[in-house]
Amino acid sequence: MKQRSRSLLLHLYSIGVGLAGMGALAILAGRVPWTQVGLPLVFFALLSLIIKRAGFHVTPGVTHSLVSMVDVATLLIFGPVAGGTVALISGLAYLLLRAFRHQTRPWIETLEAALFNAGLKALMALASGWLYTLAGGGDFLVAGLSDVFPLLVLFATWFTLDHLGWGLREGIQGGPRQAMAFLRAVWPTSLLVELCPLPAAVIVVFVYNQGNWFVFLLLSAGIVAVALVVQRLADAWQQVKRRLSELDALSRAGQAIVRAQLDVDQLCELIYQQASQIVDTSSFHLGLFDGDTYTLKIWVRDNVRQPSQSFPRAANEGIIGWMRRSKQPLLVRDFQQEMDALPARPSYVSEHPPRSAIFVPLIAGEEVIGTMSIQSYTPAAFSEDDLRLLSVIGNEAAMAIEKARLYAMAQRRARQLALIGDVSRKVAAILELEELFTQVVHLIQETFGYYHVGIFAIDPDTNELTFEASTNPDLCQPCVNLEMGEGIIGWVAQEGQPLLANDVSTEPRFRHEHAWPQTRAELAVPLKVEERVLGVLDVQSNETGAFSDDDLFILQTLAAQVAIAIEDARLYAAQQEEVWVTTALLQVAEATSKLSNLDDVLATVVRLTPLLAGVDRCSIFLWDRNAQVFLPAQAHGLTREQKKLFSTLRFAPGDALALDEVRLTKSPRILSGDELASSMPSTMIEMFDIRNLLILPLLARGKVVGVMLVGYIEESAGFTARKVSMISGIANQAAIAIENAQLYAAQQEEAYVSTALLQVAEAVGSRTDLEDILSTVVRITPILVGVKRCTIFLWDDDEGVFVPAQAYGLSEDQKEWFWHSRPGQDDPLMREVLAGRPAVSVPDDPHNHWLLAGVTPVPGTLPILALPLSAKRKVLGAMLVDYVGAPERFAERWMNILTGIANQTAIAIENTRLYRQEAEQERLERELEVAREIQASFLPEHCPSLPGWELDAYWQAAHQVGGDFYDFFSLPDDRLGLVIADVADKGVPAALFMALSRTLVRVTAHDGRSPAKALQRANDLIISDAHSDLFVSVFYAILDPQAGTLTYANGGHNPPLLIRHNGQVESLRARGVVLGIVEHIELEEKCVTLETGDLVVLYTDGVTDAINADEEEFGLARLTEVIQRTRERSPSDIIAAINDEVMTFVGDVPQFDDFTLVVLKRVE
Amino acid sequence: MNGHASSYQPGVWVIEAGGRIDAMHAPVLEAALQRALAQGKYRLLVHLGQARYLSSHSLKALLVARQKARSHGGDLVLCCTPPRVQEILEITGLTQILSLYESEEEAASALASV
Repeated sequence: MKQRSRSLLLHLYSIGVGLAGMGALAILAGRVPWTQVGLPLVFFALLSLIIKRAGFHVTPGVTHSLVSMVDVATLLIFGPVAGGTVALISGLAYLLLRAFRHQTRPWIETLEAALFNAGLKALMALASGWLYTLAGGGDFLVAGLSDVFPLLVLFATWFTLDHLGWGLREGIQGGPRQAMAFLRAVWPTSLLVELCPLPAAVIVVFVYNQGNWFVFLLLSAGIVAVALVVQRLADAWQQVKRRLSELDALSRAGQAIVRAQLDVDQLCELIYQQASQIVDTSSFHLGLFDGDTYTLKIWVRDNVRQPSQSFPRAANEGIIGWMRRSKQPLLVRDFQQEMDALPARPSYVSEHPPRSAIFVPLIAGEEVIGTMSIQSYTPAAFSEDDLRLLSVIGNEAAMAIEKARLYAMAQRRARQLALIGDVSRKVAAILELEELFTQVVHLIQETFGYYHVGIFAIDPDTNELTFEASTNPDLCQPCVNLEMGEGIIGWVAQEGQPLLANDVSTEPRFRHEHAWPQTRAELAVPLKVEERVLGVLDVQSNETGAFSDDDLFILQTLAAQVAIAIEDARLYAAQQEEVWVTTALLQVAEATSKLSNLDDVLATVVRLTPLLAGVDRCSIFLWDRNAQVFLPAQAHGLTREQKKLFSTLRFAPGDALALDEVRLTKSPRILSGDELASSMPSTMIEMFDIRNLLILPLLARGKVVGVMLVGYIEESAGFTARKVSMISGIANQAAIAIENAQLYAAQQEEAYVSTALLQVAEAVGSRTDLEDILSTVVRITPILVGVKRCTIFLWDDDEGVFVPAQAYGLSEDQKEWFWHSRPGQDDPLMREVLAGRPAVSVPDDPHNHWLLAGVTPVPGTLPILALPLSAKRKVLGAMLVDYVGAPERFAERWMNILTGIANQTAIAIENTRLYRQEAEQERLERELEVAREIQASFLPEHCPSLPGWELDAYWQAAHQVGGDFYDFFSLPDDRLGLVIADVADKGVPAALFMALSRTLVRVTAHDGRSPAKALQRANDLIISDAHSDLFVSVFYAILDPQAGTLTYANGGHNPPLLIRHNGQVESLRARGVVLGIVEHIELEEKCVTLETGDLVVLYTDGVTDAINADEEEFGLARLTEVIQRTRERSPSDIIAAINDEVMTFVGDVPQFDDFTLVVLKRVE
Repeated sequence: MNGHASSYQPGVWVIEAGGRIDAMHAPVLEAALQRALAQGKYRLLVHLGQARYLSSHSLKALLVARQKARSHGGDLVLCCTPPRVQEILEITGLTQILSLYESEEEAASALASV
């Protein structure tokens, strides 16, 4: 049956019944004596009203009360009509009053309901009364068992009709099923409350009929009380029932929630279902907060399910926002009435706004995660209980949702991390930087499905942002070059912070022309390792709002990994490069170490450098320390023409500013363009066609030994720091090789010179004769130094000139000239030599570059080099050689050899001199020794002993033998000859002369001739020997010991002293002359007698002429004095005393004359 | 000890022997005398004005030089002998052999006429 027809029928039914009842009453109204029963009827009506008021609900819309008791009592007392009327009135009044008070329904409905109620009550009363009467019921004045049956009938009818009427009404509304449901729900309560108390109505009747008003009032009061009690109990019972059902619902809900999977959507559905069991959820909203966004998970409108929708900014607005903030539910009974009192305005607008609603926040812990709101078009559709129940369910669900959310988030995270890990693993395996970039962008796009992914890298050298890879194959580098700070990517690169722009149209930093046309949202993250930004990872989407925090998280994590991978790849690349450079240098080292020749080494270096460094030209210049110029050594990459030009190049300081700079600063320089043109000679630049030049110093032990020039033909070709460093490595190797080669060459040089000098030394050392040595030297020197002529002069100190000693290679004329030349101070060349300086006499030659260091040039006609031969700073001679041209490289060596030879010769000269001197010395020594021996042998071994006489002698040879001697020999007649003499010579000749003299005197005296005659004879013998150089002073005396006489003659000798015993002194003078000078000498002869105690002292001039430090002579006076003083003593004592005295007098001064003493004393 | 021509007589070669002419210095005198003789100077005058002593060696040198000079037609004379030298000459008896003069002028003119 259609709704329309149902409601129509309902109307009809209700009104029909109403009218029927009222009509019936109206008809039968005449039967009632209204005036009599008016007042009690009113009383009963009131009572009925009151009791009705104390009714309770079991099912919504149905009120139970004890009113039927009153109504039935009225019926029994006053008859069916009156009773019916009362019931009608009370019913009507009650409903109207209630409607008036509450205003929940439209008037028409209320009136209809009241009408029906009243009508039904009337009909019930009439029918029940009729049947009662029919059943034999009376007025009921006396109660008895016979009244039971009719009463039962009455009660049954009343009860049945009531329920029938209402049941029918339900049936019309919702069909027989609804009616049955209604009845089922109602009858237990009805039975208890409405049927059972009906018998109590009898009591009321009975009491009323007794006429005792007081008791009746008490009864009425009691009934009211009971009704109230019943009402209370019923309410309580209802509440209990409600609670139970609530708990049940909660429990069911809780179980359901627990059982539910941790799925947010499922949970929302569950809430919806549970709520539906509590209230009418034909208008149901369940939404969750996500930041500012409010997403409706369950949306039911008029029982029609709507799709889920998100409202980006709705989370804080309206009642929903209020709930979020206040965490409180809201029950709205009637929007129309309470609109102004609402804490917030509802934010939704619809054509058919609801009348009542219930709003419940979903609270999980401290946070409101969502809201639930149910609306109804009927006002007051929801109760506080509903609110409470829904709140509890909602909160439980909220906890579950939150858990589900967290779980979902965790799962999401886990998934993301797994993806990130996947990508990272793949990325980390790539070491090639380029491949890395490409792989990364494609992997990211594949894994996460972004519209476009690109990578920009920051060049570590230039700090520029360069495009590296993109998922768009059409993109190429030149199109998308960005400056640092330009665009989103540039900003990210500069700041090192990520940037998320979910709507690029609102992002001021977005640069359209760089972007891809379909981009709506962009997310760029920096690729950072520690604090360094290596690049930018850029992701774009063609939808706005495509990127969430999740995406940011994913990309940042990925970016970190990618950054590390980039760093690794870069390090790897750097390592590779290093390895390559090291290998290159090793190659160079290997190549150069095998070669010992410097030219080969340099040629290899200039050849390898272009290969290894990729340059076009390479050349090396060596620095000549002597000449102070850069000389070309090797070059590569040149044509023959260029090579010729190269070999003529020469850079003195000032010729090429760049080279000077490099030489002084010892650091490399890169030149190109104008700078190059101004620092290097233009001819060179043009000839060699160089546009870009790198000049490196070749340093060995901190000194510049050369430069390496490396060049590009193209100006644009660059010398990066790495290239320069590599070429520097090669340059260092070259420098080391150069130094080694130079050392080696120097060693060779030294070896050569040493060998040459060794030869000279050998030749010279094996000879002792100076002439021989010098002639060897002049022969060897030309061979060793490659000259034709060599001459040696010796310096004559006495004459003050150089005397020719040896010559070699001279022509005859030159020889003639040589042997007659005696150059001295006047010769300019020799003057230098005398000063100890080598000198060169050259004809004036301005182009003679190679003047040797330390050699004085002297103007001359022939080119001659003169070297001093000096030993111990004394110039002993000079050596002259031809001054021929020698190549520059060998000049030093040549000079070294010559100087060495000169030194050796000088030493040889000195040595021979010394040797000679020494030999001379030794010869002298030897001579002296022989002389001394001879002398000693000729002196008497001991003094003869004469009785009555004492005789002693002392002979001290001087350092240089002087030739003194004394002699004793026996003469006939027991006489003694005494001789003292002085040969005026020294050394061996003196000794020989002494021997001769002694012999001569002995010979001439032996036969007893007088002293004068003897000496004269001796003189004759000496003179007769024409070759004799003998001069000798002789004192000869003959002693006659018996007579005590001393006869004597003196040939030029110091007259002996005679000291008498009394101290008187006499000189035994006798005229004479030294023997050996003239023929036929005249000698005086004298005689003297000696007494006891008299002394005769014979001496030589070594005694009297002994000098002290002041050149004072000891003198005769002192001698006399000593002898006088010591005359008492024995001759040996006297001799000792004289000796002492002389020694003391002389001190340290060495004596050069012999010291001879003979002392004769007469002791008896 | 170099000699010089006499200012009085250019043909006379004067050798001034000064100081203490002992065994050490005698060779110097000897060398000077020999050098002069080698140079053909046979008129020799030995000036002893500054001489403090004459050893037997120097005496011998004088005598040898005198002999050589005389063999070439010249002579050797002494002049200005100090007392000590005189004494030595007397002891040795050479005063009778050698010609002694008081002054150089005297000696020179005596030599010149040899």
